[in-house]
Amino acid sequence: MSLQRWSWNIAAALFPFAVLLVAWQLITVAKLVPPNFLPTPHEVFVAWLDVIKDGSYVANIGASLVRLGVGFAVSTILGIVLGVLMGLHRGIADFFQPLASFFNALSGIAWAPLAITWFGLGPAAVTFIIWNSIFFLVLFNTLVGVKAVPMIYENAVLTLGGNRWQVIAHVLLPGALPSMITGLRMGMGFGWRALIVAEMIAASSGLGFMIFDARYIQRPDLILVGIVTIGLIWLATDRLLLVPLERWTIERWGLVSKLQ
Amino acid sequence: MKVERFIRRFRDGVIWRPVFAALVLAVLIFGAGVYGGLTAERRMAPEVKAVLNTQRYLGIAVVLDFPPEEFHMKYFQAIGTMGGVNGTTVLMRRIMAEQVRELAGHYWIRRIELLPSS
Repeated sequence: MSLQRWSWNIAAALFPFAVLLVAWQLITVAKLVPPNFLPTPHEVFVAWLDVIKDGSYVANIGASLVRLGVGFAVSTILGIVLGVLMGLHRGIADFFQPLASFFNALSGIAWAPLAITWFGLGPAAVTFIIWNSIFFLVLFNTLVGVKAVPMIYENAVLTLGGNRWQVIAHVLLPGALPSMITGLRMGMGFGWRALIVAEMIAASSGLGFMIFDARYIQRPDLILVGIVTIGLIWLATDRLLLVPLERWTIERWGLVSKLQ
Repeated sequence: MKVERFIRRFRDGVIWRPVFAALVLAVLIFGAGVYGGLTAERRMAPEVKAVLNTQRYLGIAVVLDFPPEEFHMKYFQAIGTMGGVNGTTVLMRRIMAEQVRELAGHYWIRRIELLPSS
């Protein structure tokens, strides 16, 4: 990609945000909305610097990211393992699929009251809520990925003398990878949302807590700092980590060809 | 061939983007702690450093650049006994030496001084 094209892409991606920022500034300057409802971008920026300086912002970001990381890791490992097992074994699939379909329909947040009762306020309840939001997405995407691998490849490896493990390692897992990565990407998005809500009701730190706590002290500027931060972290994670991973995976396994 | 592929991937962002993302996340999670740990010494007054290895408990004054808020109060209460707040200074009694070192590792603390009674 040429530098000119790259710059153009960046500018095109930033343009809607610039328009939003200008509109926000105009609305607040024209006092179309009371200042205690919507602070100016400058006030939000000042509040942002303040919370960076006083250490609370960094601590809250760290708490949120660690919780998301733990929840994501637990959900991903369990989802992929069970998804592969379900894809391999009819009996396991028959047993778990109705259960998974049932629980998949429930929002992870719906578990929040029970999670607090079971685990108390704290990291375990938050992790459980995140797990509920990510696990089933990863599970079903892994299952779909494994089942979508044509039987002919499996038979080819077996015909050439490969064993079951080689079929799993060299055919099923790589073949299911694009679908798994899609599941991870969606799961990360859902996990983020679940994390913020979980922190609002079941934690005493994190970005969700920061947003919720700011409402008690009538600080809409802090609420907006939290919201903007969540958006920026998600955007960065998605664009820098998940999209390249997804693109690499689908290119690697021949689902699309790279455009020159 | 492999080198060319690596360069192409790097240029396309397939390699540098995840690496950059991982670095950003690492900085967000660990950056403040690492920076605070590296600069902890300069936050402790010489009198504090002098008694840190000889006294088990210390009375200290934690000087901030701002009046402490809920976040800081909760943290100080979790660390030990708070003796009060005077403007931007938090007085703490019977703080273990290890916890003084931990306190000094926070970048948002300006200075840790020894209370006269220690």
